[in-house]
Amino acid sequence: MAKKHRQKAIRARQRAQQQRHRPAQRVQEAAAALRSGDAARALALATGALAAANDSSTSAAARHVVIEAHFRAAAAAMDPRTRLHHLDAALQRAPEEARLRYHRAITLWALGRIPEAVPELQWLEAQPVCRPGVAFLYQLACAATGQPWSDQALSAAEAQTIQMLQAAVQETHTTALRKPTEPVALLGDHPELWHTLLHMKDQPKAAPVAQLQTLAERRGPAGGSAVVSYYLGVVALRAGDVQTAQSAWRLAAEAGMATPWFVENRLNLLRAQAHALGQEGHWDELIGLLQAHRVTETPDPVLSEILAVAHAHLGYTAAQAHDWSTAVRHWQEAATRSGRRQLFQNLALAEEALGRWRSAAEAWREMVRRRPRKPTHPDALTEAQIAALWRHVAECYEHEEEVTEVLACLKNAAKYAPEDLEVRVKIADVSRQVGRDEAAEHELERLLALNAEYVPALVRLGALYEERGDRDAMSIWRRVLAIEPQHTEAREALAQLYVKKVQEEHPRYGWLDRVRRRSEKEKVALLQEGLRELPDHPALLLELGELYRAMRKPKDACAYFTQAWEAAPQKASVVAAAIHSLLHTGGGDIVKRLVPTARAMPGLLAMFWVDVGRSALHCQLGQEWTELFWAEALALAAQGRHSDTTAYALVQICEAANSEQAPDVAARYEARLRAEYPRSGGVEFIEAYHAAGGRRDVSRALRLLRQAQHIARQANEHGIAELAEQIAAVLQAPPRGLFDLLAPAGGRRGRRLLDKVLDELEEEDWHGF
Amino acid sequence: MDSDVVSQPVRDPYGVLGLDRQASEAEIKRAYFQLVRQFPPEREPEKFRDIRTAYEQLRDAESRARIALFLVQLPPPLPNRRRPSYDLSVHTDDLRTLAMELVRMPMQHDFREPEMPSERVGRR
Repeated sequence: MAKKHRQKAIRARQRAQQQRHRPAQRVQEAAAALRSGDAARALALATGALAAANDSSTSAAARHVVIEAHFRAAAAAMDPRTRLHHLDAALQRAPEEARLRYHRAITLWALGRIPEAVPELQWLEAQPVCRPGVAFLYQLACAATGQPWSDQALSAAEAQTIQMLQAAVQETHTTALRKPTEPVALLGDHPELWHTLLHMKDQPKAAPVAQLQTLAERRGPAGGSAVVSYYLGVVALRAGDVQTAQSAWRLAAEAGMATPWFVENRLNLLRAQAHALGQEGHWDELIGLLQAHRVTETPDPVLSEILAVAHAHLGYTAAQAHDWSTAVRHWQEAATRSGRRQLFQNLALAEEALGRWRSAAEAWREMVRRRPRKPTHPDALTEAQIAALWRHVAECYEHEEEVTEVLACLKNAAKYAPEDLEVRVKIADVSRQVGRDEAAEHELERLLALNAEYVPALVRLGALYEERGDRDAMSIWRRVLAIEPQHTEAREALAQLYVKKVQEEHPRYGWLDRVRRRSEKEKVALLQEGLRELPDHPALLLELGELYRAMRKPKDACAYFTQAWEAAPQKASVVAAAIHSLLHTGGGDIVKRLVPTARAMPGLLAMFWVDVGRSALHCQLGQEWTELFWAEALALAAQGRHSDTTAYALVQICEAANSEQAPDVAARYEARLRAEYPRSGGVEFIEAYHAAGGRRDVSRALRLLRQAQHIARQANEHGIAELAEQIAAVLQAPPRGLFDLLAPAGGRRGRRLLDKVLDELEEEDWHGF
Repeated sequence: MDSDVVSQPVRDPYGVLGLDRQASEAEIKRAYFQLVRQFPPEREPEKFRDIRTAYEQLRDAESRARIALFLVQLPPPLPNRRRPSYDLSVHTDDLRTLAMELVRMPMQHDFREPEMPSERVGRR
């Protein structure tokens, strides 16, 4: 039953919809719209209905409504050109309709196209039922266009008005017509109107403001006359009354005045008024005035410039108040009307202040584009300035990570400053970022051809050769060291290349590879050569120590490990490696002797000793060593450097012991953590560790990590809080495939990243989380 | 209003030294030394740093030209105003138009009620 009702309702709705779309219905709606004064809607509806009408009656009615709608739209139009357009459209459908032809003639007249009005008036005069005034208008139009005219069908006033106008055209003195003693009947209720205007014509300085004002205010045709309003403005200006002129000319424009002298005069008045407001700093009022006069729609170069200046000022005021959004709005407006490069500069700076880097970059580009090209122009930019701008645009794009744009802008910068080596190095850097290694290499080589000793370029070329592995990177690093002997990166890279050469003894296939394998002696010689080039380099010393250990020469090995330690006693990575290798080689005594120097490393954190202990545990170098290093860690943590606290160090030790599969050791330190620091968040962290690692209960682990963070923050244990936060983030992160991570970097760069990640995975020994 | 501000454009060195953008090299130098005397580095290190940075940016023509690119520029002046020349004469074309206006019939007088299609026609 319900279904039946529903279907009935749907059908009713469909019927109503169809009804609405019927042409006849649309005609009714159009007529209603017309009655309510909405001519535009009426026109749209009736035009649609006319196209869709399928019977003569509906079609005729729709045509009537279309004509009427055009007629009313014409009546509502302030601009005579729009009015004419509507009347022409209506006349296409009803060419014989007298009212349309009558008003077309009137409109043509208002537009100054009297010769075109003549045939319309002639046709109207020939109609059996003639409209009042048509005979006069026809004769007047004939007289105005230099055709013979007749006063036969005219009244005395009409005929004398034409005569008077003819006299005025022929520049005959019209004083006789204005003699009060011999009054001449003229058209209209107020012949003094003619007298006043003729007097004004004869006396260019006469300003009968009061008289014309009285006439303009009177009821009747003269009251709504565009001409009377215009001349009221003229006399007001003759008398210096700008205010009256403004309001009178506004009325004249509303009444359809469109003569060229009126348009020009009004524009001049508006310019003067806008200028005066600008000089007084009334920028808002100025904008309001020009908007009211629709200056934005009718472009005038002077007003447009004034408007741009007003917006530029308002933008500047907003910028001074750090209201950058408002500044951007005004400067954008100004920029649409003025091509001054400073506007785009300000716009770019404001966009930057708002962090909208792409828009800023576009504004900067526009600024560069709009710079004057003549070098003698006061606003011209030097090549150095243009280069600086392109570099800045590149920086803007860098914020948006639009690497291709960055590259294009840097190339532009280099075009204007070819000697700027910094820019060209940047080009090489960005080229590598986008995977164009060969382009980077060529850029660096071109750059080095300009300046063979430019270290930043050499460093990049060295790194590039090293990564590609097909060129001699060592020679590049040697060139760097020849210029800057202490260049850290070059020393490190060269040392690592020596080490790599020694280490590249992976199992190979085939008899040739076996022949090519270096002997231990050759390796020692290679490292010694490296040490001659880089004396006391710890990486080379450590590697030499490892080589001797492999050759079962512990004494020599320990000597090199110790030498490495002493060569870089402040470098934690070297010290840690030396300690570890010494313990492997039986150099425990040396370690004990040198531990006090390790303690003196500046900025050393407890984590250093925790890691050294972890390595000892991992390689089973003796539990006493692990205990010793962790005791160092706890002693250092007790000093409270940075975020170090004893509780935090204990947490790190527990984690290390657990990950190295030493539950007994871990249990001991856990017990100490629970006993000594129960309210540090550390206990909850360790429990979370067990929940996630052993029981695989991630939700419990997350809950405990949240607790750990909360308690740690309360106890000022920032290290524990941060660690808990990081682990929680890892546990909550959705699992991502390795190739998802590498997806954005394709090509050679992607392959390099993949190699790196796989290397790290191989080294990673993370059993916990 | 300030919440949407992410960064600030370059600090105006002219403002720091209390100069206008057209200041000469000598004026820049004079303003710098005056301010340094007023804010010596040992007493006002931060203020001195600002003053020094501003001076460094303006001390030679090249850096001055470069910094000018990254400073908010003053708004342009109003275009030169020419004395408006109005045509205040009486045009005979206007007199004719006035004559036309005195006899013309307003368009509103010619509005018509549109004829509607009969009810029967619209129905199926």
